[in-house]
Amino acid sequence: MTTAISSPTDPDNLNPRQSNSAPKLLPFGALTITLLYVGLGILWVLVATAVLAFFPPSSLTLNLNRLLFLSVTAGLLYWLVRRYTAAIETSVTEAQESAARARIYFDGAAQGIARVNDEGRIVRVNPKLEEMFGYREAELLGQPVEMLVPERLRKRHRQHRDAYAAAPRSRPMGLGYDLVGRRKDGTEFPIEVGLSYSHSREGGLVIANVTDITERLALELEARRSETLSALGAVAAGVAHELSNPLAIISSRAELMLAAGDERALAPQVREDLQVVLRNAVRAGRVSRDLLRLARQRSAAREPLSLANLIEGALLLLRDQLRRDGIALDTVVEPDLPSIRGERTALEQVLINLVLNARDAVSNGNGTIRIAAATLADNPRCVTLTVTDNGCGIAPEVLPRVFDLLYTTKADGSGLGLWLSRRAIRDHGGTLEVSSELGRGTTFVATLPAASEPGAEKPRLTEED
Amino acid sequence: MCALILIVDDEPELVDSYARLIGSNGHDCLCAYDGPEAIRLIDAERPDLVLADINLPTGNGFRITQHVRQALPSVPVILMTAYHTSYTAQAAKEAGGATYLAKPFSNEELLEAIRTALAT
Repeated sequence: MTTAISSPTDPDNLNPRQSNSAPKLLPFGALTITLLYVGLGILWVLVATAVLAFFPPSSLTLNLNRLLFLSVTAGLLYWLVRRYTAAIETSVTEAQESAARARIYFDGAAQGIARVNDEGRIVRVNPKLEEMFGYREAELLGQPVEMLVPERLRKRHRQHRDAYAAAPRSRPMGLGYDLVGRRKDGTEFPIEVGLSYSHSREGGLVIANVTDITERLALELEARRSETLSALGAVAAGVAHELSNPLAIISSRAELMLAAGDERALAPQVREDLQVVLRNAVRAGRVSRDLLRLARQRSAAREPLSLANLIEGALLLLRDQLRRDGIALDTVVEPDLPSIRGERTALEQVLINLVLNARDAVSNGNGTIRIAAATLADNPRCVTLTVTDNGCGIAPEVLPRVFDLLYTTKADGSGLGLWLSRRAIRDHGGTLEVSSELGRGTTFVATLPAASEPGAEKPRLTEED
Repeated sequence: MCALILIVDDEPELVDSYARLIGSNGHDCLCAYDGPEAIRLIDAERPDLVLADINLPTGNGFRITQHVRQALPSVPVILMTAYHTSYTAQAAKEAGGATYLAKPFSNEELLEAIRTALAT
């Protein structure tokens, strides 16, 4: 007798003939035992006859002979049966334990597993597959496996299934195809399927190992996007960098010519032409700066960031300029604010852009810009970064469009700044919203998820501390 | 007040523009187009203000700033760059840079930065 071996995809031991290494119950085969018994029996008869020859023949000696023969035979039979049942018990116990382990593997597998019979009907699924497709096992048993496939693909799936049944072997399913699963609620998701085949008491069984690759595809897409963005950013950075000096020369020379024209009377048309040159050089300079911001959208390593440090980093670039413009700056950071996880340069650029927009709005001489960082009132797992000004505000008809790509109300604007800022915030899993009142001021609020990792960045002491 | 201002940039036409602008505002100018030349002029001429691009073919604005801090501690430095980030600003600050200008900037912004630097 051989011992059946169960596998993770065969928890109910559908292949009892699989074992080739079953232990032997007895050291000898059945024929050998029988011949041995016959031989011993003959020997017993000869020895008993020889011994009893020394005694006078009587019914007692004859019965004693028979009794002794029966006793030895019974003992031998007892030994055989005892050994045989012990072996069976051991085998059954091992098989049960093996089946139990296989069932644990099957039920706990990270992949979804479905067993499908020769007719294409589902005979067993594991909990992972139930979870993946949104069905309970009872809803799937006996159903065609095509119910797990989008309707538009079912005919093709049946054809492939028939082809597989003609030559079944272990292999990935649908090489070169994008496989799609269909959940109970009708939604679809990308999958990978590995197939294997086994025989059972009920016939052939196809075992399908199903993996939901939604997350993996998203990561691959993100990696490709990052590479594209990185390449695009490198080009943008190179172009912008090379443009900055020529633009500086153009605007500087135009300004010099206009200034010189004040002393030697310039023809009005020449003056106007120089002003056009200067205005467009300044405008091109803004586009160049925004291209550089795009370059900084390149994926860099994300790290825990303190909003206080982020604000300080942005103000390093802006504080002097705001002071020269006579704009009051107020920063308020909530104590013990959770850190966020992000790319420092990208987020600093967002803040710089928002503050520069605020600066452009507060040209009335009493300008104030307030930067605040706090936890979200109704969700402590989110933080907000707010930039508020008391400037001219945004007209109601303009407000819905401020984040549109290439939309600008400024004569020398590029229309990239707020679009880039919102995109950067979204890339960090957050939102960027605006509210405004004409004549009163504008508030931009960036909401970002707090980092959950330990070892979050602690705020650095600033020079004011 | 008439100051001697050293302009350092590897773009000759830009240096010329700044020199004309600064000269027309009553200052004298020295011009250098790379780091070693700038340092030589700093040691030889002892300017009252240094206006330097961060990115130069040899040396950079940070090294120039550090040299000024050692040789002429009271002389202000204005650093310029097209690729301005907080890291660059932080580095400029740590090198001792007084003011930081992001290219392209207007003539008036440059003159204002010079006026502020000379006044401090």
